[in-house]
Amino acid sequence: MSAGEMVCTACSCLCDDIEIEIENGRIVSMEKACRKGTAFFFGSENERLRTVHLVDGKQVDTDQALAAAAGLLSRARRPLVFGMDNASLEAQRQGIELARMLGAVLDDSSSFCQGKLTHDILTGTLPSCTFDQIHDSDLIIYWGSNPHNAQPRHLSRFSLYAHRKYHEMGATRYVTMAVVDVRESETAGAGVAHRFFRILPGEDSNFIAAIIEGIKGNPVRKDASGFLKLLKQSRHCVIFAGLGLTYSLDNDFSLFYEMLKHLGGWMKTFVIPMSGHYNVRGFNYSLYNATGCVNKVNFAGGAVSHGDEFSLLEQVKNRAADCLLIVGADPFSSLPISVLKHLDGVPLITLDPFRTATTEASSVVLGVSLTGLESGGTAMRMDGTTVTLMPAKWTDKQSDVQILERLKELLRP
Amino acid sequence: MKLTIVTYRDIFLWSERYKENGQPAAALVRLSPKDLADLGIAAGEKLKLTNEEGSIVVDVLAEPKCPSGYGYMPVSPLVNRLTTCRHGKLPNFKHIEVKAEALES
Repeated sequence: MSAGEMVCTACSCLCDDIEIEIENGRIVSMEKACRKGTAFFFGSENERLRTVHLVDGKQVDTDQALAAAAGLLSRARRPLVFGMDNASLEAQRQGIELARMLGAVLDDSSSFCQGKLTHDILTGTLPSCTFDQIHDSDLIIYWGSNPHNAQPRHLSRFSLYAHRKYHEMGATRYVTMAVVDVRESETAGAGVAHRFFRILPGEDSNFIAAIIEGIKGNPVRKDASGFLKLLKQSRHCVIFAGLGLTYSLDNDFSLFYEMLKHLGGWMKTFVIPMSGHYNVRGFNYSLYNATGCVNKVNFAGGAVSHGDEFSLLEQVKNRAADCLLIVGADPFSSLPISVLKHLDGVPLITLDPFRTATTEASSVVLGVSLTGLESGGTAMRMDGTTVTLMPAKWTDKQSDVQILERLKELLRP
Repeated sequence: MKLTIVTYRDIFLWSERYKENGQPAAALVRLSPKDLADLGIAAGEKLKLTNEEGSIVVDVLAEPKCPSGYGYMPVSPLVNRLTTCRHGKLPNFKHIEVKAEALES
């Protein structure tokens, strides 16, 4: 039996205190992991949920699968590489180089998730902080996010309950947690949040506009007035911005940023996007370093161009791509079927450790190891901290890094 | 009745998807008690949700604090039969307009 600590790659918290015991090549115990992480890693032990190499539904060996993938990509005139949010930084670098070599369009889920916020953090226009710096805050706000379900250990390991000044039974509260959401989620209710501001779906911009009016001294709606009172009592606030906020604002954060600017009159405010996939922030970082853009790039003609037309959604809707290489992503589970139907007849090549709706729709599937458990590397936590991943278990499957390296070799001119 | 569906992330998305026959709880919508009464159905009964993109059948749960006219559904491939994405916009995961009809039990 072997026992040790590992990093959980089930979400972008990248919890690095998971205690795991392996016996005869199987996990026999896992301590400290949340329900999501536990299901993720124990699920990886079920071979029927894992991928094998497939070409047109028939099981093949690695060389055959790679040859089929290389053949499709070399014949494609407008290839698109998508994903890598569930891939190590090393795999992302390989994937970016491959996309550049192919003259492909490259995008990830951040183009329809938190890419705008991460871009603004990387360019220095949006103040952000690491989890370690949360201890300086006196106000924590979850806005349009429910970590109870999406990042289950977020509160206990990194924010409210981990805060040095948090005392459950203390008479004085030194740190306050508030939730702004359309639904009384598990995080907003059940005695978790100190304050809950419930707004109607799509009403975030009106709520923010009211807060700004309140700062200017104008009379505002009652909930905005209560929220502003909370802000005025704070000197250091961290806002965990969730997809609820991004989608309500339809990715236009101008009003939100205007509010932050006004708040700067008396307090420091930092924003951390509540990323989902374990290394989506890493992808934005890797691509930004390589191109100056966080997503939606086109390497056609040897140059780098960037624009909304290079998002996966626009590429698919416009039938612009004639072959997709999907790495560590499952768009067939997460995107509208009305969009995905435009992929009928387009060959898909997918690298994933798990069988997914996307692998089921793919012409070529490359089964890879599960990063964090079966292969190592590095990844970037949602707060921008780089975390080292060490494999806890042996596998005969190749990693996504190895597969992408071999694909590059096969496609090298 | 016209409803606006708002999707949310449920832990079962991850905890169940790594089990065989996962995602059993995707087919549900949470509605206000008022809307349940207006539809003439009780919690546990079935509702058909339809729009231009497609049609799905879901179980109904009562959520006392859900505002009337809205319904909450967990993110899943099922609800994605009703979602869409207009040019230059994000997908309408938080604003899916549907027609809701009670199904004969």
